[in-house]
Amino acid sequence: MKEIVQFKKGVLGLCAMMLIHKRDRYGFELAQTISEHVDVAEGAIYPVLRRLVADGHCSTYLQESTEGPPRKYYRLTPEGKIYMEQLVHEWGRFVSNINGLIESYETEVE
Amino acid sequence: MNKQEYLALLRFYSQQLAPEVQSDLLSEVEAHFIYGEQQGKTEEQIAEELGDPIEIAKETVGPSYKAPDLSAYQEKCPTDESLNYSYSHPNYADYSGYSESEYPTQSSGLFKAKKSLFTLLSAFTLIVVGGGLLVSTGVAYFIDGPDEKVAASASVESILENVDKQLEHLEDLGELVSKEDIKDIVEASTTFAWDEEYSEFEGTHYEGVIKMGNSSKWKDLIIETDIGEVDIEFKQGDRNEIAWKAVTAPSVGERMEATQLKNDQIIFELDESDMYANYQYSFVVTLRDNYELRKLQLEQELGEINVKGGKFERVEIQMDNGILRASDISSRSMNVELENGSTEFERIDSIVNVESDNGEIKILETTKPVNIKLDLGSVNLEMKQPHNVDVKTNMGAIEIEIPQGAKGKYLAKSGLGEVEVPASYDNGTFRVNAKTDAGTIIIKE
Repeated sequence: MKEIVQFKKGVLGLCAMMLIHKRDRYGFELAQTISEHVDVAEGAIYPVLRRLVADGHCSTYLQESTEGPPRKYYRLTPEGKIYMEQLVHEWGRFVSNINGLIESYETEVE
Repeated sequence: MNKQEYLALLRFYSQQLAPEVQSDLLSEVEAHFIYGEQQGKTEEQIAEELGDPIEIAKETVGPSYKAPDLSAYQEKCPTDESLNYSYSHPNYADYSGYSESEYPTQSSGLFKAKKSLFTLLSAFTLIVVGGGLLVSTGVAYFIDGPDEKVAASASVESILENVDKQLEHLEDLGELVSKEDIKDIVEASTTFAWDEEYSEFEGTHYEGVIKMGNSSKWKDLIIETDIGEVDIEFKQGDRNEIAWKAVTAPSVGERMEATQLKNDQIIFELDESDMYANYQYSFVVTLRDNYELRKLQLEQELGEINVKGGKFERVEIQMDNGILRASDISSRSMNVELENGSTEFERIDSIVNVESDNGEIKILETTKPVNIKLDLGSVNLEMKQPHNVDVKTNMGAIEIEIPQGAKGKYLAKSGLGEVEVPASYDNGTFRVNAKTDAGTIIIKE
């Protein structure tokens, strides 16, 4: 079902922003956390993160780590926060509209 | 697939990115491997969790993504230059993951084996683009499976055997992609690898002129090739004549020299079964006054065709794999059939019909009706004068630019994706129908 693939892709940016909003995170961490919630390949997050930075919704900084290479952390910019809140709002509307449609379809079927 | 292979594939697939963006992406993914290993995972596990590298490349590039294909790959690595390297792809060769000590330059057998594998991967890319799942499965099978054997095998022959074995595994995918299709592509690429190893090709230069003076007996020009680059340019002059130059095998060159007007046709049959990739043909056709040929017919299996100029009753082009460019052609009809490849048309003053299995289609400055049927790929059309357009693709974006102020009737339908269409006029002077099962549609001035 290519629709499902598209849905998942569409929501990745929102997931990432919400997680980054809680605290700054690095790519690997985001990939792991998101793939626990949404069934996508972990690699799918990297293009999304790149786009968030390119669109000015996130900024990045490097932090040394005691274990392994320095980590590239993502931080939500003020614009990113506003955008995320808009998205959350739109998402809510979208879901309730579609659910409404599904309910009316299910009543018809019954 | 291990880390090195994964990163190398990702690098190959993402070559369209700006260098700094690409190296950024690669270091992120490389870091992902390191963090994963710290959690006790194997490189293979991490690679699997990351998913198909082509997907990452595709998403990072965005809608303009073009999977690097076989012909582009071959173009970039002419064999005579690359034989001295441990690896043939320029983007690939400088990748630090493959150090020279691991793949010593003196091991030419190994080099050939790797190179053939890469050719094969490129071929798989073509299928992958078409088959989605198949791509990842095909590549994974090939890489996970016989890779060590491949790296150790000294000749193309053993690779061919491995390919056959891998193909057996692919049988389960029957419903998704026809096995015959895979076989065709794999055969094409391995034959190519085979030829590279066994033919000691040194191109010989040939040239000739076919003079037809003022005679108007000549009606058709037909050129058939299997592999190579074909350039054809039509010019205005005071006589009818074809001047050609070729770098090719003697058997083909001699056949070209013997080619002349027969009945009302000139037919260049340049097929050569043990052909080498770098064959080149260029034709300069001079036509007196406004001489209109009845037919221009071009057929090719793998390579590149560039056509410029000319006036015809009809143009027929058939191409299996490669790049097709055509510009400044005037014809009553132009029919194009493509299997894999990209198409670029500019200033074609003709009704254009294109049917393609796979590839990107770009048509600029159109003046006559255009019909496009595509299984997979995006369409980009810029209209110079208002005319009817019909575009259907099973998967891919459609973008159509109409002339300023033109009033047309627009019908756009996407199964999945955004649709952006200007106000439609029921009694408009022309109509645009655009349909895709998945992808955005944009119609704009």
